[in-house]
Formats: sequence, structure tokens, C-alpha cells
Amino acid sequence: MALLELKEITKAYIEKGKYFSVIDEIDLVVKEGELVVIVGPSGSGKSTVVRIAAGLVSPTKGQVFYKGQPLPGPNPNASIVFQNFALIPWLTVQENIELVLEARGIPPRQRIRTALKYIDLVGLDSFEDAYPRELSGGMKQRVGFARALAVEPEILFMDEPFSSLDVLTAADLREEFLKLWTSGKLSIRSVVMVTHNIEEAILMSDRIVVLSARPSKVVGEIEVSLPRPRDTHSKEFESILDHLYALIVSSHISK
Amino acid sequence: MYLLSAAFWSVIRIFIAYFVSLLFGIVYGVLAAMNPRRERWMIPLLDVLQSVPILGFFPIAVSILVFLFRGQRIGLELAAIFLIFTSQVWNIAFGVYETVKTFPRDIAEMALSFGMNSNFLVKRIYVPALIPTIIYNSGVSLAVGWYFLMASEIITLGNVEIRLPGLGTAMMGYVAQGNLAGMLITVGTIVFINWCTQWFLFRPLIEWSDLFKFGAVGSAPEEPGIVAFLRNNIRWEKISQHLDRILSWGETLRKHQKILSSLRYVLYAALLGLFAYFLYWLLKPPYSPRLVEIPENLIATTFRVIVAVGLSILLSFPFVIKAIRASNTVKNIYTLAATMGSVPAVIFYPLIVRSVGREYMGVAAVLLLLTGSLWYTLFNMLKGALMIPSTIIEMANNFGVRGFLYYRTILIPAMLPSLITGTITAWGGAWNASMVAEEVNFGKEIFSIHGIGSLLLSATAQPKELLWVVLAMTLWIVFINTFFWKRWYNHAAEKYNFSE
Repeated sequence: MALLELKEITKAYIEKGKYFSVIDEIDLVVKEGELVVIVGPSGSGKSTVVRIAAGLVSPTKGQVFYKGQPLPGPNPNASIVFQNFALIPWLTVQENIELVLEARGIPPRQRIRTALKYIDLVGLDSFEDAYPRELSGGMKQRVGFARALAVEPEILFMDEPFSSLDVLTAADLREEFLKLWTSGKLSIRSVVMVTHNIEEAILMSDRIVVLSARPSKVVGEIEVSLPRPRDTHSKEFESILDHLYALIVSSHISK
Repeated sequence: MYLLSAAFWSVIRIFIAYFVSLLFGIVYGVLAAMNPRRERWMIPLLDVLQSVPILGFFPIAVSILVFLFRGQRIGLELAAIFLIFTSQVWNIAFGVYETVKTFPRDIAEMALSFGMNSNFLVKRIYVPALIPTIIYNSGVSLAVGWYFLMASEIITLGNVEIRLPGLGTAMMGYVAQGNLAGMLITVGTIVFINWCTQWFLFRPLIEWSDLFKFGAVGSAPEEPGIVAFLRNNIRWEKISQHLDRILSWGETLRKHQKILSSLRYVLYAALLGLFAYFLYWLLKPPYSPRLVEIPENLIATTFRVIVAVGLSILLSFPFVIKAIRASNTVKNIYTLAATMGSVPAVIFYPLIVRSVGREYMGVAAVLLLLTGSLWYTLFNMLKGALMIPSTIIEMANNFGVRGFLYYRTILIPAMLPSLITGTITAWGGAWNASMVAEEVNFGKEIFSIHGIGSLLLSATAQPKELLWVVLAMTLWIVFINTFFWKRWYNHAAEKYNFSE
């Protein structure tokens, strides 16, 4: 069953009398239980697609459906992990998580309990009282994950969540997230992630959606049914990599 | 004892005005930044109010308040507080507006995605994020407040002069007596009070405010005693609940769209009627013969203002360069500037004018304008210098970009937006100072030079003439702002922006 559906989404801006379209009639279906990765060159409007799908930005044309219903505004059943963490600098790790729980109207005691539970889950126990500025990038993104998970959403959007981290930290965090995701401990039913790292896309996804450069269109989709954990040096992995690479290059040439 | 009570009254006035400015500035800035429809009229209005010499309007405000309170002291006190308020508030409101306007996009998106409503967003995210700007701008605002305090304690209404107890009045008294010791002690008191506020209040607060900056790194600053005290002794929960109640009251009011919009039309009609009557009254002959003197006087003052602003920029540069070379000195320069800026140069002015004599009064006037404008360029340029990304400075060092080349290609372009902001505010400050620079009254003797300020003072006895002068001046300044400063600023802000 489709949890999320984007129908003929177009986003355009008018600047100095000129019409710029960033996204051109994109269709996307996210099924329940699926981890979909959107890849595309930088500036292709991937992040905008995610923001439209989460209801933060309204499309110029087209319609977003969540569980078959048109989405009127920010989706209360979704949460987002941001590329640059988007943590509040004057709040501690725990307060950052409690803040979004408070915004959802959760009473104080339960806020603390939930916050601590998710701090634990992402491996940040004993850092509850640290300020974001005192944490490394990887730890900051752990807070970002804990915060996104703490509101117990049905769908999780991730906007280049590992792009600001160094390679090893990114690999660690990626693996931990996949463990959590496959363990079934989370409330999340589907994940939509944006990245420009094609290896990361194949490592994580059930399905990859490839976007062209601006104005972006869907140029192809690849199902990835390799068993997890995936080996980047396996033959199957490499053949998907080649296929994906060819798809991206061809979208460039056809321009 | 006399000085102590004078100091008490002055401090009370300044701080009441400051708290009102703070409240008003935050509300105004946030309201303007959050809604494009409001922004369209609130920001031009703020621009005009900020650039118009408030001292020119002071006689009008005093007349109204004295009339309302039938000449009782409370009316005069309110007039004085109002004057100080108007000198402090725009700076804060503008800072608040700019901060909310340039709010990090991912934080705003985060707030939206987690379902924070605008009420929650303002209370929990915007207001704390404003703390660095507010604290930084408060230093300027308080210094400017002292400048105007001196002018506000002695109020002239036509031929009547009224004095409020305070340091400004005390100083004028000593000047009239020629009591040098008294003058020095008064100035010492002012400097001491300011040094204390800067050292014990703002220095720790500036350090602490680093906690509220997006993208700051390193260990978190410690909480100063005053913050802990405020946190523990004020029932913020209660205040927040009251605030919510007011806001929800506003929401219910908004639901009655029909009543509200009809009420708005009634208000518009009333305002329009009032304005029409005002125009009729203003344009009705006979005209005072002195109106023809307005253009010539305006130009004389404009010329002096330009010289003063130019000097302010030149004098600020050494400090800025020092601040960039050794960023640890910034706090010291800031404290020094805030303390020096609070020394109300206005009170020395009569002495200086007397000693240089009538022939050189023009030079003395430019000097006074300088004291009214220098702090603005200095504070703004310091702020701009601090905001240059450290990678740019490191790049310059690394590639050996030095000397003239460094200033021409890196430092000046990088600070241009804040330099222009500083110039615009300094321009306003100099105009303000013009209101007191062009005429000095020594009892029997009057020293006066050509200019819009002296014209204005001579017109205080006739409301209509006064209004003509004030209006002409306002229009002139607004004209220059929109056709010169604004364009330059927009151009610079677009071209010399560090964000990609």
C-alpha cells in the first residue's frame, strides 16, 4: 500500500520576471515498509522534493497524498533529519529533544522519559546535559536522529543526513541506523532519504529514484533487493553501481 | 547628596526608557519580520522614524504631554522618558527585525516540521535567538540614551524653561555658575555609572550571549549571576501564561473579521480626516516670512552633517583594524566605546563654544555632530569586522594580501554592508546633534550659526512655523535616505555577501 504519493509535482520560482522551474512533474510513490533513496546531482532540487513531500513547502503544481488523503500542510506523522543538524544551540541535548515533544503537547514527565529513551537508543547516554557546540559532528547528528525518532513518526525524511560527517563517522552512523530500521524497534514505517552519494544509496535503499539536473525529472528507478548488510565489493553491488552510474551519466548527456 | 539624587533620577529615567524600548523594539521587530503584509508598511515607517531627528519633534511631544497632564511634573517626566525612548528604540527594533529576517533556514524548517505554532516559535526560538543582538545593541542604545538625557531634562516651551532634577540639569547649573569642579564631578559620575553598567552588566552578558549564536563552537559560556538571579526570582511561567492569554485573545478577535475590518475603515477614515484638517491648517495663509529661509538653512546643516559623518568613518577605522588583528581586544574596545559614547558631549558644548568664540562656532558644531555620530559608525563597523568569516582573513594572511591591497579588496568590501548601516545611523545621529549644535544660550547672550537647528529653536514659539521646519527637514532626510543610502545599501548587501 502506498503511504506517500507525489503526483505531478512541479516547483517553480519567478525571479526578475523570469520563470525558473526547479522540479518538473515528478511522480513518486513510497510504499509501506520501504526505504526509498532519491539521488541526483547537486542543485537538482532533491531537498525541495523532500520538503514538498513533508508538507513544508507547497508545490507550484501537483498534489501530495498521505495515506490517500491530500496533505494540507506540514505532515504531523513525519519528521526530518537535517543535513546541518538544525539543533538549537542554547538547549542541551535533552532539552533539544524535549522541545519538539513539548511542541507536540506531550506532558513534562513523559517528555523526559521519552527524551532519555531515545538519547539512549542513539548511544548518547551521559551526554544529556551537553550543549550541541560541545559535541562532534557525528554526535550532533545522533541528536538529530534522536529528535526525529522521539516524536515517533510514521515516515522519516532524511535530507543528506551523512553529508556533513567524515567518512568513518558517516559509515558508523549509517550502519547503526540500518540496524535500528531493520530491527523493527522503531515506529517508522517508511523512510525517504536524499543523497548525492551513490554508494550510500545502494547500501541503504530498497529502491533508488534518480533525478536529473535542474529542472529535475525522474530519469529512472532501480530496485535494490540485496540482503543486508551489503558488501560494497560484491559483484551484485558493483553491477547495480554501474547501472546507476550509467543512468546518471545518460541523464547528463541527454540534456 | 545633591548629585546622588540627581544621578538617581537620571538613571531611573534612562532605565525606564530602556525597558520600554526593549519591549517595544522586540515586539515591533518580530511582528514586522514575521508577516510580509505588515512588513510592507512597518519597515518603511521604521526607516523614517529612525532617520528623523527626534530632537526636532521634542517640542511638539512636550507640548502635547504638558497639555494632557496640565503642566504637572509627571507630564514632563513622561516627555523626558519619551525622548530617551525614541533615541533608544529604533536601533533595537531594527536589530531584532534583521535577526529574525536572516534566521537560519534549517532551524525554521525544523520548527515547522515538528509542528511548532508561531506562538511557540516566537517564545522558545526567536526570543532566545535574539539575545546576542539585543545585548549588543543595548550598549549603543544606553549610550545614546545618556546623550539625549541631557537634552531632555531642560525643557523649553516658548519662553518658559522647566528643569527636571537630574545630572543634565546639574551640569547646566554648574556650567552657568562656571563651577569647574562641579562639572568635572558630574561628568565623572556619568562615566562611573556607565562604566559600572558596562563592566558588571554588559560584559558578562556579551560573553554569555555567545551561547545563543547559531554555529558557535567550543565549550559553553558560564551563566552570569544576574541571569541566574532573574531566572530564579521572576515567575516566567506566569508571564508566559499571561502572554499566551493575550495572544489567544488576539486570535479570537481576529475571528471576528467583519467587525475588525469595519473598525479598520473607521480608523482609516478618522486618520484621513485628521490628516486633511492638518494639511488645511498647515497650508492656510498667512505664511510666516521665515519659511523661505528653510532651504538655505537645510543645506548649511547638511554640509556640516556630511563632514561629521565622513570624519566618523575615518576615525573608526583604526579601532576596527585593531579589533581584527587581535580579536580578544574587541570586548575592551566595545566597553571603552560604550563608556566614552555615553559621555554626553552636549554638556561641554557651551564651554567649548565660549572658548573658541563666535567665529569658529561652525568648527565646534561639527565637533559636536561628530560626538553624535562616531559611536554609530564605530559600533556597526566593529560588528561588521567581527562577522567577516575567519577563513577569509586566514586566506588573506596565507596569500600575503597585505597593506593597501588588503584594505581595498578584502576589509572594506567585506564590511561594506555594516559600514553603510553605520553611516546611515551616524547620519541620523549627526542630524540629531544638529538640533543642539547651532545655538547656545548663555542667558543674555545667544551664540548662533546658520542651520536648520537654530531655525527650529527660534520657531518653537509658533507651532505652525515649527511644524513647517520639522516637516521640511523630515522630507529632506527621507528623500536622501531613499534615493541615496537605500540604493547603496541594497547594492552592497547583494554584492558583498558571504553566504552563497
